[in-house]
Amino acid sequence: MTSVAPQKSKSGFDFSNYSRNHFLDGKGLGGFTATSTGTTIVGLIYKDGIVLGADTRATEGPIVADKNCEKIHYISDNIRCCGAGTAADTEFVTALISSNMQLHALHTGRKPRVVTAMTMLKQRLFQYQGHIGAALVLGGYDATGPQLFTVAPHGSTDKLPYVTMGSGSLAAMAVFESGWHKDMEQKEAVDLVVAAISSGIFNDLGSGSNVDVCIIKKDSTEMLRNYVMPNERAKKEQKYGFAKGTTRFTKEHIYSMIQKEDVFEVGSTAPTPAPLPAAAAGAGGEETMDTS
Amino acid sequence: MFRNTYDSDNTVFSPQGRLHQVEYALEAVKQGSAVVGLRSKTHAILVALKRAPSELASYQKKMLRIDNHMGIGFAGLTSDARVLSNYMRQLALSSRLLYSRPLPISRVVNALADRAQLNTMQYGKRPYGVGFLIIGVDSTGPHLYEFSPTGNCFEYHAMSLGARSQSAKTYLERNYEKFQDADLDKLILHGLYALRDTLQQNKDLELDQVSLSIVGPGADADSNTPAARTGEKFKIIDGEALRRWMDMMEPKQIPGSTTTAAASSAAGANSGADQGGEGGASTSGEVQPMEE
Amino acid sequence: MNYLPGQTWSSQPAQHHHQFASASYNTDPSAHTSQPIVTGTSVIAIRFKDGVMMATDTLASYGSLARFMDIKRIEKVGENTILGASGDMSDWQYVQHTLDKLMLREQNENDGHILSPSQIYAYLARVMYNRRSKMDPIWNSFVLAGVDPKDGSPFLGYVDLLGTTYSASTIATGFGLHLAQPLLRKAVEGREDQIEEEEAKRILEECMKVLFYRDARSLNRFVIATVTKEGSKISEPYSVPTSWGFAEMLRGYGPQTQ
Repeated sequence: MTSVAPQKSKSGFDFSNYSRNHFLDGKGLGGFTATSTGTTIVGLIYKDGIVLGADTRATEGPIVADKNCEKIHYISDNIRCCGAGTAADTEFVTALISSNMQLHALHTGRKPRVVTAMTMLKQRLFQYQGHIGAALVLGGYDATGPQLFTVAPHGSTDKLPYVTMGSGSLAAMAVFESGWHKDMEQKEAVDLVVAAISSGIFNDLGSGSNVDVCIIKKDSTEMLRNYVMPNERAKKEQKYGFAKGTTRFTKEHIYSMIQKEDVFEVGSTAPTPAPLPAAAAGAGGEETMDTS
Repeated sequence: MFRNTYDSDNTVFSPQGRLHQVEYALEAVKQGSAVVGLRSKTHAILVALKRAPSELASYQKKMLRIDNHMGIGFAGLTSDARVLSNYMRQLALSSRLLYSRPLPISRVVNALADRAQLNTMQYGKRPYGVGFLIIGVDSTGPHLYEFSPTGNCFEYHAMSLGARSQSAKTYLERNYEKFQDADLDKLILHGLYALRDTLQQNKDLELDQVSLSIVGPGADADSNTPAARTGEKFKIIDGEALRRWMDMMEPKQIPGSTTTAAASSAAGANSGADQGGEGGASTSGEVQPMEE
Repeated sequence: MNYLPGQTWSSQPAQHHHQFASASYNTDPSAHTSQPIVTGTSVIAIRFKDGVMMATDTLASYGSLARFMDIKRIEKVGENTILGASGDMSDWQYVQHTLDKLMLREQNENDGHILSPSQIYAYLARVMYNRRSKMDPIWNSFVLAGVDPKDGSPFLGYVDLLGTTYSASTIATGFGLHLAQPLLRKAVEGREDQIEEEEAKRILEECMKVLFYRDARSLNRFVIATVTKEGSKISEPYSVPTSWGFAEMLRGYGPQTQ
């Protein structure tokens, strides 16, 4: 078999295992699936704008990898995006689109719109035919008013007044279906979002820990990180440390590990170091840098 | 005897309409030592006289536990008793497994009766040669049933089986009205008196000879509930533990003997000791001749 | 000859085909239930102050066809117990016959003993586990509810085709597990003994509405059954009002505004 020099992929994806996976699949030994975070994310439109909500648990199979991760990503000042699915995919795709949105805003000279982010996201996800496992709830308040969308991993979008995504989406949707109505007040809306996320946290094993809430209004965006913390670790009832002297020792020998110590401060508040004598610099042939 | 021509086959009626083999089986029951059963509003008890097959052997067991809430005392062929009690145990456990329910006494008794009746109707089989007194507690209260080789089962307030059981029956018939409201100790004393009446005139009850079993309220509680711990489950009491009630008994009136006072002083410092050697003071059943 | 199912002396034994709810891969000449055909969806039930309450819709689906719209998926078993079924409807009918026979035999004894709800539950759980152990399951998820007439204690239990059993103050099967259970838990847990019958009915109606919104195999026509110390009753089928105009003002799925 002639070896082929591996080509550098322009998109950053490496499909060289494709034929191997296909072969294994035929033998019935395939079935590699992407791992997902397991999540409850929600969004709703109320009287003055958008409220987004998310839990804070990131899972690796049955293990909780991150007890307090942040799932409400920044797209622009007036637009946020909740992400469910493969954590890396949601983080990178939202970061990329956020960056592109900033460039787009500078290019057009206008405040960014939610539909723009939505279009960028859906085109990118569709291009990758679902291999980027990102399920997003995109919401914001732009010149056209409050907008709320969901973007599915294969690139389809939905425009709705209330949405939920992730493994806890049914638990959260049950709360929304019982409680949502048009033109809710802000407190009502935030309470409903908290109830929906809590429903996901307590009834879905893939979701847990705390509730993050983000309120996006016409001229302000409020990010309420860890707004509700229903799963705080209980304070330890006793002190479990060992008193000094618990372990008896027969000999004590102290080694000094520091041979020579030079403290050199850096930073804006650090004093400028004294310049080396010019003669020494020139004679030694050493190069010195300007330390102005 | 004039019955001989119709009594060799189990399945042959006599001209008088009797099944002699079955009646002979009843005689086998009368060969066994006495068992007495009685019941109050709350408890059901059995007392029995144990026999030792020889000087070298221990006393033969007269009671068997079927389940937490049910037990039997038997008189007759011990091997038949074992086989039938095994059958009852299987039924009891099967009810607990299938329905999570302690087997109602009437049901087990009917099943026993059905089984015994088969043997009175099939050619080549012989009737069972053992009679049971079955005590138990279920959701309808305490019960006492008699099972006989004829396949008949009846419920009683009080009953006795075995050798010289007629004397016990006489005592029971005279006193059964007191049983309903008697407390446990009184009930046991009645049982012991009835049992004592089955002994020969010059003998009294000895500690080693008597077997007692009691079942009371709460015996039928489900074994995985806290009520099960306080329920008075079926238990058999032998030996030293019986002394308590034996000591409460009035001394036996032996006909033709002198007063009891003389006997007490003759016997010595033993409290409650009398002519009958009661209270386990003597090991032989022999009575001291009343000689000053 | 293969004595056991799946037994083979082939030199390449692991010839697994990925079967997804199609005919069972069975080397026996006889086949066992491998997929349900006519099915019922969720059953939901809660415990409240005076007893227990259960609700199901009246639909039996034939795959994605809403085939039979007037099926009773809750039935009485004796005077103090009700049983709700989801899953295969023919197996549900078989279980109904079996329990009818059981109760009839009990009544014929006529000796003052009746099977309480927890005892019928124990029997049903045995039957379900036994069948699953023979690899021939009764393809249902059952919710059994009742009140023991002797001491008034309520009972609510779940048993399914695997023989899994559990008891709680709120139970749901099928889609109800994901959609209704969170709502039931929030409304009931911790205050079972304060909920009156009216409130319990409202809680169940709310959940049936949500299920109708989000379960694609459900129907807005359902039945509510209640058991208290006095006995059991099953209501006539009825519907709840639903609103579908929540997105009237929105157009399209993206940038479209007209």
